[in-house]
Amino acid sequence: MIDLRWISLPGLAGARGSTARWRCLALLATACTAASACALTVDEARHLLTRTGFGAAPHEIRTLLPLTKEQAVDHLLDGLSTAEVATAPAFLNEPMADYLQRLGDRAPADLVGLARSVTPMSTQDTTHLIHQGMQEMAQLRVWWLDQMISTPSPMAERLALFWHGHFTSKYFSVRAPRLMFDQLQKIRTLGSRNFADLLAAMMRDPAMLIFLDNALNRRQSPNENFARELLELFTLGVGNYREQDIKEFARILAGHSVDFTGSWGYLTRPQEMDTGVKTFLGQTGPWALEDALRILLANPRTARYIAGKFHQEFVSPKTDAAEIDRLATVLRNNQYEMRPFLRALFLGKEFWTPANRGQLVKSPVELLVGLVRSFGVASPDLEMLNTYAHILGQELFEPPTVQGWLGGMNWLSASAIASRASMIDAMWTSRPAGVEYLAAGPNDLLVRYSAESNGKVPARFHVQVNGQEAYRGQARWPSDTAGQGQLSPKPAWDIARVPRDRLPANIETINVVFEKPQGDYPNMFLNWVQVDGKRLPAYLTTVKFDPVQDCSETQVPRGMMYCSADARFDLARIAGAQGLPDTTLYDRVNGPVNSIIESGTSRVALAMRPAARTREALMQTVAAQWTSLTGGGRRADLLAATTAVAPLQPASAQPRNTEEFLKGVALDPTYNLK
Amino acid sequence: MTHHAHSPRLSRRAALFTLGGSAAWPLESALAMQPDTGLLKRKRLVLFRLHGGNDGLNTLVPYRDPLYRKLRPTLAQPLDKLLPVSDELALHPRLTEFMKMFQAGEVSIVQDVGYPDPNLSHFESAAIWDSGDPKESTQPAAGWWGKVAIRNRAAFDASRFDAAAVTFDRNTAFGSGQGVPVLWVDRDAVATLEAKGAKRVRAALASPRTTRAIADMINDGIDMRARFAKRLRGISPPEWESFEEPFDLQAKLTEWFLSHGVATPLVRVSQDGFDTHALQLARHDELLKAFDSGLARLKQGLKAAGVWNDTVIMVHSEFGRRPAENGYGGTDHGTAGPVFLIGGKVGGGIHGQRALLSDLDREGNLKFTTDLRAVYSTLVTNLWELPGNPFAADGFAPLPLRLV
Repeated sequence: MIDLRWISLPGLAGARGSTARWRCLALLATACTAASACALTVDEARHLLTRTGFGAAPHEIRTLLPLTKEQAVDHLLDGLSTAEVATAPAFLNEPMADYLQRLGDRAPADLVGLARSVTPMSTQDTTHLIHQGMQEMAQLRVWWLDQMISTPSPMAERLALFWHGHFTSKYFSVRAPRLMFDQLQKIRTLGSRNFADLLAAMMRDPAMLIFLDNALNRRQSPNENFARELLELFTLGVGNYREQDIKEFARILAGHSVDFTGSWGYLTRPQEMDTGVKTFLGQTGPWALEDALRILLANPRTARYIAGKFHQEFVSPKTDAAEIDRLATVLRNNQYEMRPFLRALFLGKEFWTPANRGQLVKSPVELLVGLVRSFGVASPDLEMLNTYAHILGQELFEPPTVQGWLGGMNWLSASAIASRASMIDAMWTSRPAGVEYLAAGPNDLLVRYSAESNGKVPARFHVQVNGQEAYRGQARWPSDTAGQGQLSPKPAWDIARVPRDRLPANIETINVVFEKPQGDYPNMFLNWVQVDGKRLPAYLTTVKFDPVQDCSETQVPRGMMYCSADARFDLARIAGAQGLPDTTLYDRVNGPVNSIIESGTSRVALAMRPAARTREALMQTVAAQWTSLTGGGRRADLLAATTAVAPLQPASAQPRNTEEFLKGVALDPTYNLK
Repeated sequence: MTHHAHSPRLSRRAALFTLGGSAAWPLESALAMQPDTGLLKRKRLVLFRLHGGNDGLNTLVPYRDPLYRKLRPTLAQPLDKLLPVSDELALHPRLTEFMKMFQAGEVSIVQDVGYPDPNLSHFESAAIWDSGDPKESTQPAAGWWGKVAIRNRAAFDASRFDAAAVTFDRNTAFGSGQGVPVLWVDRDAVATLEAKGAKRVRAALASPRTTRAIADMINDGIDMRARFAKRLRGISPPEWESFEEPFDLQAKLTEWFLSHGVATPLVRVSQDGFDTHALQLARHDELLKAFDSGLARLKQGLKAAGVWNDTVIMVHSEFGRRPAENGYGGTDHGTAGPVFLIGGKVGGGIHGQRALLSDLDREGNLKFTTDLRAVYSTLVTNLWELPGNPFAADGFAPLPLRLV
């Protein structure tokens, strides 16, 4: 039973912090006001971690507690690492698809039709290519989310996420997943190290060159798009250059392109380059790309613009010109090295003043990844996290505009707050299924499904293998779409499991049979089945619907069962078939709320499963750590360790245990602040 | 690739919208006198934004100007396909439904609308159109509609609207302002109208600004949803197809809201994709075709809701495009462009002045001839007849256009 005495001001030192503070007072005659003199409080440790990473896990807080502010910041900077914890996306091991066909009019006209594909693709092949790209992007997003969750250096991924929203490229325009991966890797590695190097890399990055039309920028017919956005959004900022500078910069950038018919790497096309004299930002000469880079970096406005963005993103929504100037000077004086700049940023006075707590808003990815890291609320299917982030407005690799995500209070509205809470709720709810999934043997039979109900009739089903019943059960967490409406469009998935040794050696057919009584509810949605390590999405089934209830609308994606139905996997037929179209993929992306078949996860999960075990083990440790951190859990300490400001909706009932308390904190609207 | 909404059972109902919103609805004025509400309760604006910078020059074409073809050797529209609306100007061939409206006298065209010191950035220029203030585009005090609502607060109070505006655009900046409730309708998220169990919250006085803002959002959202729930109780939402053009869905929802008596003086809709830097000919053709049929759909919906004669649609874009084509069959960002005011009672015709292709600015762009603030001023006075006109007060008199 935890101590629930309510202390209204969060951030009052927890037991450890106050002990340290009193010790300080005893040793030094002066009050503990000097920023560097004393060890961190629980609230300060949480604040630093949440602002620089994704949430704060107990062991992370504990590591920082004995340290001073400077030591803590140094500790995080020392630990900066982009070493990959998650298994690389599987699609990288496969031959690259014919991206040139997909680029269409974004590729130079003289190339389309050459070399790679002389004949135009059929509609079916084009559709297949589109689907393949979407599945590859799903793998890529999941890989990065996994990395954010599992890395011992969340600051590195947090920085990468910031730069991802600064040096933007949209997959929708680039259409080559491999290029998006390559760009991300540059951002991840260089983004923690040096801005000048990162800028140089982005100016030659193929995804960027395609996205901003520089692959079409030729001396003979300049295209200004890349030049404009580089000046306006990536370096100087509005008002610090003239329109003429854009034109001259476009001339400098002409001919910097992509090897569309070979490696898809960066390539210069000498016949398209402009070697003439240009006047760029007040300097005249026969400038090439390296010169433009040098001129931009020498311009003091660049550092100020970047410093301003960092200040807004990490410190405060309020502009502080003097502070931003100070930071800009540090950045410039250190040749754009990130470490001294970040150090100055996170040791600034305003960062630490108590009035600063809760001034910033967690972006969707920060919120969801932070929830997993802080409280161990993991899901084996990270595609769900991406889906949630997408709905909340932050789909990775798809910024709404080249300006990136506006951030701050722009993330929030009445409906956004409600959606965030319901998604967090769904994640907590389905956590046991995740635990069970990861306890499964590699060859076990798993059935992934969800359901909706009106709370009156359970969604019952059974599973047959080779015609014999192997499992019988009912959905544990159906969505109450009738009663609650659908603030969270995706209901909680559940997994039914049958150990392999209970099944026949040779499996030929698997049937998932849904038994529904008369009426509108319940309904069942089958996602996939998995056996012997192979995952079979619902679209591979043939389905027989109950002739009386008759819901045989052919337009409903397969696996969605609105009446009694028998969905059958015929394994021999499936093994023999080639290149089946994934018709449900469109539905997942564009469909209405009840369209929850996610067949695309079939390729995703097989790639990430080994990592998922490690991650879940880590999460279970995190969950167990909470009680031991706070030594019995005084409410004030728990609050200081979990949230930046006092909750708006104190739990109506006394939480019975730490987990319930944490869930209450996570569901409160103030959990969106940091 | 389309497929229809699932069979009509409640659990799979279409119109899926979530109700977001901003700010508070002020308490009803305690004035004993009835404030002058003008035509605020009767008349309404559909604010129609074309995102990306629509190429005005190929939409409303100066077909007799030799410079037009000189500047656009490949992009100029062929003479025989154009739809002339005057001796000088013609519409793009795809605008057939729009042409019918013009011939019926339902369209007022205002030529070359813009603002001084044109900004060629999408975001900045769009923000200027939203704020109505060329000098204060980023983080302005209020959007242009917010300013109108604040200036005429008594009239808005007395009108007892469900919301000061309903928008299908994620961006609500045009209506932002202290105490101005704007309802954002998003087709992808879902909520039933009556969100059960939503409880008002209270932020402690010592809370940071962000916490108080969140508390306000939650409470105002609850209040606004309650108003809409009351209005639409028992009425089934419209069906929609998952691959419906986004604008067609907006038109459908607009009709649904208005035909069921939702009380709001402004609905905002938009169409994406007009940033035609490359291969404009085919792209713009498709865009205008979609625009034309979308507009017809919207008119049909407004007529069905019985409000066509009390509604003005204002079509505009954040800027036009450069007269000279670029090397890749497209055009770069420009400045001024036409504004179309369309409605059952609009007095038709072509207004304002054509910007001359022989007198371009230093960037090679058109010089605007009518300030956007004058257009907003015209709406305030000629459409709603409101007592307070912040744009007129700043020196932008309403244009001599009939809108009612």
